[in-house]
Amino acid sequence: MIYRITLIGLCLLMLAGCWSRRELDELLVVVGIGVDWEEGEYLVSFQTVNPSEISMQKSTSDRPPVTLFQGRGKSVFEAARSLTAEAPRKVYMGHLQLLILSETLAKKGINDVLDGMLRDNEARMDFHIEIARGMKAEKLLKLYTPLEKLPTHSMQRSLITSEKAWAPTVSVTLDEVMNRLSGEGFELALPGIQLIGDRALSESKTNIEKFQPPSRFRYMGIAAFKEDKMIGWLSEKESKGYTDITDNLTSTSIELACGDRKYTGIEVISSKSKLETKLRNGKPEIIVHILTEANIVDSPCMDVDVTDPATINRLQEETAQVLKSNAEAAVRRAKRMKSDILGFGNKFGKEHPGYWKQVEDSWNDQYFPLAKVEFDIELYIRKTGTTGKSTLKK
Amino acid sequence: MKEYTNAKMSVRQFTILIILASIGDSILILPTITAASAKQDAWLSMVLALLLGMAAGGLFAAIANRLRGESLISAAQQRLGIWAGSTVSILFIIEFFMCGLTLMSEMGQFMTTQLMPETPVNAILLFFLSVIIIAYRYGVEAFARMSELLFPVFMSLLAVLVVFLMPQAEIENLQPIAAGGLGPIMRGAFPPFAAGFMEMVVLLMLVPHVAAKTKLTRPIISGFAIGGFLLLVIVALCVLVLGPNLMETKYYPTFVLAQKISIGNFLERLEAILAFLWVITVFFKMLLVYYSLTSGIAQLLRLKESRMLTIPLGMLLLVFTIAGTPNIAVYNEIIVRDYPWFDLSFCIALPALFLVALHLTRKRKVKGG
Amino acid sequence: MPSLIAVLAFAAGAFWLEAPGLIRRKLTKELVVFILFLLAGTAFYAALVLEVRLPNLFQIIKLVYRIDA
Repeated sequence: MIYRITLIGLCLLMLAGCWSRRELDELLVVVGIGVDWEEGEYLVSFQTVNPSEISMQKSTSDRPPVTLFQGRGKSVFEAARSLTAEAPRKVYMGHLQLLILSETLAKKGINDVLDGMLRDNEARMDFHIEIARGMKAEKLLKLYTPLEKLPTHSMQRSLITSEKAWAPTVSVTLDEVMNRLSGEGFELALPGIQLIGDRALSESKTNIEKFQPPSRFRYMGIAAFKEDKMIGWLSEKESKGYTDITDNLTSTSIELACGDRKYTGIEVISSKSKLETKLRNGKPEIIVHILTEANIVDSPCMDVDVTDPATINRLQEETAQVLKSNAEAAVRRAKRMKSDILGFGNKFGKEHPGYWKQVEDSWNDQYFPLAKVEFDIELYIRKTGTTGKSTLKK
Repeated sequence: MKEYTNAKMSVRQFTILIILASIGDSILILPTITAASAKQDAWLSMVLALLLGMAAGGLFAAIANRLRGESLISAAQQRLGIWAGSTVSILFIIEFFMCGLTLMSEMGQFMTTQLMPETPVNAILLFFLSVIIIAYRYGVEAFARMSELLFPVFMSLLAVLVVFLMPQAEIENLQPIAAGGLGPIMRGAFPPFAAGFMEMVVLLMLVPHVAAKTKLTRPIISGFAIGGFLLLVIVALCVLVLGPNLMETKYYPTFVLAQKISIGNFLERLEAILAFLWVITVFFKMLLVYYSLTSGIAQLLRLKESRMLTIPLGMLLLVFTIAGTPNIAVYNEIIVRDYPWFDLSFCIALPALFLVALHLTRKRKVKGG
Repeated sequence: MPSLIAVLAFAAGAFWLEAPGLIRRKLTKELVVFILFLLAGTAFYAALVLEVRLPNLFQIIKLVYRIDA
């Protein structure tokens, strides 16, 4: 009898709570982290949520939805702990959505920052990583954004949507970064984010009081890396080629000139790319197969008859040419930078492991720039929207 | 010894216990160890380990069939005489004890690394051990029934894991297949074979409790096969979804797998529920090991009761677990490099010798008339 | 110090839980074995709590099995 009572008592004791428990009001939920490198130290900015301000009910006070805390330290962890001197709670990384690294930090090398993130048991691997273009990361985390109450949520949503809808953006999570940095033959590339408009006004609520906020963020360009150091930005054209080759392209818009400052608009609705690697005489060759489906969405030129199959064929060829030139630009740039961000080496490693073992150490510098790259692009235009020939009088 | 042979479990419960225990703690850290040697061919290592495991299962089944309803230790005492029997028994008991230490270590480290970092490992081990002790004191039938109860839960959680991760699997991660040759694959097969299959020698202590009219070959072999197959599925899933790099880096890749589940932005962050999966398998393996240890000592010393040994043995296990794991680096190094050899000598070589001895003594008995 | 008392109290509790049953049923051999194991367990646990350096059993395995140690 006593045995049973002690058993039940033990169970109750154990189930009532655990040692490491942290109640919800002890958590400082971090949604965005910005890391800058300043004077030999890490300046880490944590954008944290004010829970009462983002609740569905009307917020009672005028406090902003997020608070930015900053800490300095020789490691990210030290910076995170140092801010407990300012913040009422200890950070909780479980809901981290965005990690923004400054360009100077990226050029120095991101391995150190990422190692801490990997080891942490609270942080997960599903947050996105970006590079702040031409500015400090903390500036981006101070931006007041319209529409979404949490700026990082807004940025993250924009990133994900933009990756699907606009070619020159690519979203990368920590596990992909990890894979690229650990493996050989596929160098890293991260999206770049920038503040446009009036930077001075970005940090206050007046930013959202106008219909068009004076200061906004925008994803611009893709940062190319070699190992863990950033070596350059890809232009918009090169970025489009990059996403196409690495099979990240879902949908985008392509314009074909059809007259004097008039462009036919083509919408890519799906795109699959495959790499085929060959070894000819011991020299590496890659064929990039791209299969794309598209629709015509805009046809301002009257002399382009979109109901004529011959026109469709012609437009298909022209669009394929555009895709090819984008992809070629990306390859040229990657070769010039001597960094295989397109994953050709990785594919070689998978299909020709013997050859890859010999060349993997000098692939980026020696073999990749000389590799022959060919494109096999198939593009099919399927539809022209809900109208055929435009009946508008011009 | 009457107290022991009265409690009976069905053949199916026996098989389920074998399945759960052969997965044991392998599911936690094994993919990392295998991937360190074999990289993307870790699944091939697992296939090899499975085949080896079946051979080990054959060995154990042969012994089990010859035990004729006695447990390993009591048979050793009876058939081999006082001196040889006791030596063999003591060696087996050492093996059981060390195996228990590794299991407790793994459990404690996993909890304090991933889920509850600020909790002192003593507390976690204490609670874990208390449940084991209580389960043991309730007897074989009780925990056999519990295993039957928890098995569908386990299988459904595993099915959830596999099915929900299917969209994220990339066949390309398996390439290049066997690029490094057979060497890395074989090196990678040794730890899973040791942890998953060799350590299952503890099942030989359960033999007197299985209500079987026929030989025990079928439950043992099928238990090994199913358990090994499930481990193969897990390792393959790790390679397909995480890729060899990530699998090698993170200490608990199955936890990362659970973290990755994301269905329609709705079913996310399920890893704590799936932690239940691992707790089940580690619990049952630890229970079998603890059972073997406690009953083994009782049978060695020919005691009429084993219940009173539970608490002192628990204390010893706790103390030496903590003493044995000053930090994770020391522990991991020994587990990966030296412990499989210890397993090989005590779980394969020793039982093989025992089998030969059983064979010989039987023949001698027959001859002697 | 308090943890040491806790350990001793725990051992005493274990003794109180098991011993009466054994004494009542006159199982002397079992009682002796129990006391021996309990003493061993308590001794080691107390050593752990008092931060006496305990042998690492895994290191012993390493010594025996490591070929190039």
